[in-house]
Amino acid sequence: MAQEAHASSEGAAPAGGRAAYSVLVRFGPVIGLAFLCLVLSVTSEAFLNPANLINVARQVSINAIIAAGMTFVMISGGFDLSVGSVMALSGVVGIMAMNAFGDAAGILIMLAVALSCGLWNGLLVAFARINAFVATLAGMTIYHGIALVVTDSFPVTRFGGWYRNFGQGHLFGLPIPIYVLIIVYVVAHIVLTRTAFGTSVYAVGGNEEAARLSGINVERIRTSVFTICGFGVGIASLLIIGRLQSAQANMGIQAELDAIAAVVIGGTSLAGGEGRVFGTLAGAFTIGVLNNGLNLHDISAHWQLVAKGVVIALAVIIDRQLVHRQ
Amino acid sequence: MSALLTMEGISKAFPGVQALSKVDFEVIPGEAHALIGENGAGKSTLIKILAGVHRRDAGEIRFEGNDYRVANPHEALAMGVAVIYQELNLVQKLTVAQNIFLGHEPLHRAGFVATREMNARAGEILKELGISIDPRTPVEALGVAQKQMVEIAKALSRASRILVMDEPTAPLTQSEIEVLFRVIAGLKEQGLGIIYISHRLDEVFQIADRVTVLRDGERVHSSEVSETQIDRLVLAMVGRRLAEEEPPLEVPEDAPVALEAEGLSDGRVVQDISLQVRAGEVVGLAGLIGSGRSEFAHLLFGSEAAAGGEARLMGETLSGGVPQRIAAGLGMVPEDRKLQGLVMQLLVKENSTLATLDKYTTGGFIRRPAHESRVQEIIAELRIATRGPRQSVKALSGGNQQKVILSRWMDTGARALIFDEPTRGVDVGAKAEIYALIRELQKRGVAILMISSDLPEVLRISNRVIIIRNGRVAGELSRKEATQEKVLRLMMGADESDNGV
Repeated sequence: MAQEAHASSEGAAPAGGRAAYSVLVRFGPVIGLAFLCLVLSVTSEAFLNPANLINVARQVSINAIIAAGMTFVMISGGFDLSVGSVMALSGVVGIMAMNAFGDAAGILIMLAVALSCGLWNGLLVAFARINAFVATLAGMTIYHGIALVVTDSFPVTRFGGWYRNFGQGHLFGLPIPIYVLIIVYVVAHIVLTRTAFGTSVYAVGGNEEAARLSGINVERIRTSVFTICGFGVGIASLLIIGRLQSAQANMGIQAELDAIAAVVIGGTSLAGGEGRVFGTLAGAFTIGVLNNGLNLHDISAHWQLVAKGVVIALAVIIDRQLVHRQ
Repeated sequence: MSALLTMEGISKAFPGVQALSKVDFEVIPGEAHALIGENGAGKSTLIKILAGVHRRDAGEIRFEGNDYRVANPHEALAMGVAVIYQELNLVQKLTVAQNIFLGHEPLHRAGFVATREMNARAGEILKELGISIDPRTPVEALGVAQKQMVEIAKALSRASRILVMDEPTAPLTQSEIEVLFRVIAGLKEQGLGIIYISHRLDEVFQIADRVTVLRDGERVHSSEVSETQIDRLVLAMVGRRLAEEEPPLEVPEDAPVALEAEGLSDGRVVQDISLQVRAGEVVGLAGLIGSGRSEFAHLLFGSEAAAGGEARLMGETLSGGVPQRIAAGLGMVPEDRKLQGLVMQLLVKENSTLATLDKYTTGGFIRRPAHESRVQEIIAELRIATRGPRQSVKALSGGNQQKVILSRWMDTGARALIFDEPTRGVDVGAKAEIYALIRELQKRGVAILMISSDLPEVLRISNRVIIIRNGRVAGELSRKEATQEKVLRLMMGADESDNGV
């Protein structure tokens, strides 16, 4: 499938060098992450401490889940700037709905809200043919605005209730968000690599016209990827409010940047048509581990922003070089 | 007279194709040297080497007596070699003068563009060409012929010594062609060297002084135009393959009509086209670029909405978009393999079953073994040169890529296929294989509508040729009646009075 496309493009002679490059391209994000972990494990005693690693994984899970959905959108050649606002809106609606109707109904409502936001983005992009950047920029302010309206800009809270387990619970000693993360990634990977739908997502992102002329319903695929992305954001939002026992309209600001950064570091092309969710996972962990490492070294949060930016630029430059050599 | 440009022993190979081998070519000042050959003969490659787009593998080029080495089109332009491609390179939103002086605008001392001077100089160049276009007009407001003049003016503003024109008359009407030829004659008088690429042999005799024919990357003929005839050039172009070719299969008398168009129009380019293709028949659709042939194909296939008329397959009216028409048994091999055909990021197996993925899924999941073994069968059946279903399509040659696209419709079991330029940019061997596949499809009773600008190809494999001009059917010739000359005459409009563009 598509994740093999890199590995098998060595095609013509001289195969040896190309094969090496294609392995580097495929595993580049993982190699980068491993290198970062190696450096930190040498420079900081606290880094390899299991408690620290579990903490990093729990923190990363939110961004990683959003980024998994973002990977679908970006492989299809799109872009979603509204994920932060969707997270805030579904979060505040979720808390309010749970307060009114109980945990189960509230969770369903919040997931439905997130999914609908994604569906709306998708309809705008696919059928109204609005550029994804503009459509989701509009969505970003609309959803944020609605969240402010329904809360009157005050935080909403819900203390107690089993929903908190999604943020705070543990199972066999590991935080629940880590299990959710694993499930989301396994499902996303299977959908992208083993289903006709997944192949169609790659086809639409790689060559929309060819996909259309092969009878693929391009509009349906585009709508679906945005809907999937919205649904993923709903799950991430549930993990956050479960931890905080509250939500507010301003949460999730700049979440889109971290998610897109994870996807890009993970080797997904901005132009669409290629990418892998496990690359994205490595990308999300790279960001998380980097932040953690800088914290452990008492480096200020301001510098962390700079470092994140440098890593994004580096990742893309290296990827370009390798793909070019290939 | 000493040569302006001498190319000697130029060779160039691309993966899987020897595009040029040891080609010699020369231009002297004040002459137009025509470069002709079938599609894929190597004309474009030779020009692209001259223009700095490709690097030659071997050979020497001397320009005005000096060694000529350019790394990119920009350097070629600076040396004095300007190429006017078919798809004109103009910035639509800028004015005529801005386009002419793009990249070398006359400046004030402070560094600002001297617009007034620029307009005046552009006006002079256009006047020299005998063309009345206001230099302040935005290019998007111009017609094709005028845009071409702007390209020529652009070359003159750079003091170019060699002007390469790639099929310049393809989109022009007869009266526009006459203007172009007058301009070319004027350029020759000024001592420029013109390299003139064309499919239309009659033009070669009108405008060129010398003619060189390429075939399969080799120079097979070069002479003064006054010392040769059309037949000799045609023979040189198509070569001995004329003798080898098999006639197309006869269509059984009782073969039913499979694919049918009735009064199809899109309200823009396609005016009113009706035609019928019987099962097992190959109908060639000939027409100039811009005649509406490709647009018509998209109307039939449902990838563009029709404004009027109807398409039918096996007697059933085709409605809905592409997916419905594929399901009904129609398929299309589109004009541009890279832009419309393949998903380069995906593998052979996905590309060859892009239209039929659902056949290999259970509950949405692809059954990998079944999928791959079917693709393996397709590869064997079409003799696709690939290492297997999991190879990237990027690594395949043009002909094999084309077969991958074709294989999609083998897999849907299509009853009628539309081919749009099926052999453009593929080498001779792959061409022959594609022809063989078309015969095979014919045997299975598939109706084939083939659009091609390669006339010898149309004549070779079609049972019937339908000629499209200005979005209408201009004529129909049976295989017996169809000759290159007759088809060309119908394509261009034998009767000029109805060519009112």
